[in-house]
Amino acid sequence: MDTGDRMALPLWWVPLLPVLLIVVTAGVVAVDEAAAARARGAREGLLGSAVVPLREGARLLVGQRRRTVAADSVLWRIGGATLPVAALLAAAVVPLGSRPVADLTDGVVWFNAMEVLAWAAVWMVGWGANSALSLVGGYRFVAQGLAYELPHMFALITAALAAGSLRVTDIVAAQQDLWFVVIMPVAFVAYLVSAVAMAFWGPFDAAVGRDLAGGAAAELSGVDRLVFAGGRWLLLVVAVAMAVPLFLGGGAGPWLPAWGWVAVKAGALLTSVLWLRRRFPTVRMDRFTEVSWVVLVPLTVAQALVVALVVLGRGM
Amino acid sequence: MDLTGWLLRVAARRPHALVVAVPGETGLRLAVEMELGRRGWPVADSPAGADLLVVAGTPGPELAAVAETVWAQLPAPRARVDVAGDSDLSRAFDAGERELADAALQRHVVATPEAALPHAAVTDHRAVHDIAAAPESGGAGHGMAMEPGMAGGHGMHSGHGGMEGMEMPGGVPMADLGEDRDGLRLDALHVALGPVLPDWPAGLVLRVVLQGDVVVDAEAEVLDGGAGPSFWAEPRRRAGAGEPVSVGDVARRAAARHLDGLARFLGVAAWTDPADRARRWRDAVLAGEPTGQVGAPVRDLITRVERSRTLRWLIRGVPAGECEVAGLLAARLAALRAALALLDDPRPATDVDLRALDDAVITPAGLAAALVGAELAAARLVVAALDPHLRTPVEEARSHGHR
Repeated sequence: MDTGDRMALPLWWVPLLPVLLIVVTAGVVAVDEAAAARARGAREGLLGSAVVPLREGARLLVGQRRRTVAADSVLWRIGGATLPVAALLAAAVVPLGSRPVADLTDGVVWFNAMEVLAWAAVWMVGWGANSALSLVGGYRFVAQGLAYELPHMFALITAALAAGSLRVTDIVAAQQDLWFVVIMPVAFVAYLVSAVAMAFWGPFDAAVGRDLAGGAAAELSGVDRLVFAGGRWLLLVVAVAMAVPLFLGGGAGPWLPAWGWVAVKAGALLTSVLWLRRRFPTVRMDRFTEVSWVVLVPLTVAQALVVALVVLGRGM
Repeated sequence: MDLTGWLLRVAARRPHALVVAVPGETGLRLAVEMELGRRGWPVADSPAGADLLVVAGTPGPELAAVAETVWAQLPAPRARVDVAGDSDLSRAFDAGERELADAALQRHVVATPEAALPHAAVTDHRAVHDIAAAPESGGAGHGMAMEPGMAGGHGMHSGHGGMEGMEMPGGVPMADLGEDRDGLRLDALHVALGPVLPDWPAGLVLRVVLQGDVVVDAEAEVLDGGAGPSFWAEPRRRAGAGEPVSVGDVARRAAARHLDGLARFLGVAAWTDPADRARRWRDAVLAGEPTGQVGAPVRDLITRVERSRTLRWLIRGVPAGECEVAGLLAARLAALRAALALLDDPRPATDVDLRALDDAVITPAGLAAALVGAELAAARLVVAALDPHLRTPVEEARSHGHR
């Protein structure tokens, strides 16, 4: 196997990627806001919802940053800043069409490594403020991380196993005949559930829960809150979008160009993730941990085993 | 170009509001929530996330001090709106919006933090949630961030003298050590929950001792001696005083009460969609919309909550004193159903036994006892499921005398 950027996009995509990602994320926030407005019975209209992310951004940009007593400021600020950076770095290996910004030979490992940073980030933000409710939010995310990370890794590795490569473009190429979602539906579902849990998005948002007055984010204001909340949205978008190359054949599809199919598939997945959050109350940590260890982990291991047997059978 | 001024104006169109509810002024809290909903202004979870502080009612001295501390913790740009029973809410909120957009004013707030932020609060993060103790620590008033939950009863923290010679980062005492439920030595953190928390009973302060996120000890207190007469029981009181009140009047208020309780419970469970709906229909019921319009959607909502397997799974086996959270929720939904059936009943309220529409009654001490041993998330669910109207002992005695 060669190690170079076999199929990477041209270098000028590097500055373009954050811009693209932020625009897409703002759109997703607006869609979520429109859904929320409808549930409240408000007549905001699409345009009203579309400006909400801009207003929020403006509000937080001019907001004063808070200090708290005996805060661990370094960890607190680093934690917040880690989220968007991790999301961007993870996005580098996601094919935006048929080609990613960086086509690493071990793209799946890179992606997972960047995602795991979220675990540390939320814990640091919860810890750094030196506030009881923030700290409890941090604890909750550590527990959640223990619950989602193993099923997540098994799901990732199952896709890589079936393709015989850790390179994301190879995984897409391996799905030319059959999308992986067909041969590994359990891994697909486990991936989506754990991706949502990693972005501490509802129903797995106990770490920043309303019952904790915002939990890990309770003490953040101004630009710190913008970076944290924005980073979380970016992470959600990137983690969910990665399911497209891993399980849904990437940009494959008739009529539309590859980037069009990636956009359609990712959009459909994101919509269902936004919708599911409105369908369910927040899952408490003790219950999620139970489900994860008793149900998700064995299921994903079994899924990996089945796929391994299929791969072996094909090799013979 | 004045970029900051422009951003302030853009942001001021959609401020996040933090509501300080005054015990006994439930009607005003509902009006404030309705006005916020009408404007599409989100409700903030914590002072850090808010730009607008709304004090709904005229607080007593203890809650007034809390409101002052919370106000000090709001990051600029910020505005404060105090509303009383006779206020024009719309005008008050417009004024708040103008204040937020006023660049000159907001710059002043930022430039003079010492002037704007009184006593300990400028740096006292813990006060965000431990504000209850502000009246106590405020007296000390030398910028020391006392952990209020520790103010009384615990030898080493009972006075400033006790803190000398200890290393206290930022003046905050370190956590105690205590035996946890597995017999290990674990940090015991004294935290006061309330009175400014999302979907939290007005004026309630819970002083809890936390080990990890397990409540190992709890004490409840209602600021300023608790609420006056309950807003929800008002038609019943009028009937008792001999005024002509129909069963329908009592049932309407009871239905709104249970919808409000349901909305707050679902809010804490973070099931936002039905919580928003419950709030919406609560307002419609209170506004006197005809039964034909509210009956069906409220019944749909009840069915949806009852049928949710996820919710059942989440609240299963969470003890709340003598019963379970699931039982409390079922009782609330049953009472709501009963109230819905009586919305148009013209009989005089005094002729009919309406106790089926009533709430569970609990004293602050009973509430605190129900929380010991629960983890924080479960404790929050218990408080929300009970959603108690906390009364003064005097009133408690009086209402028992009536029965």
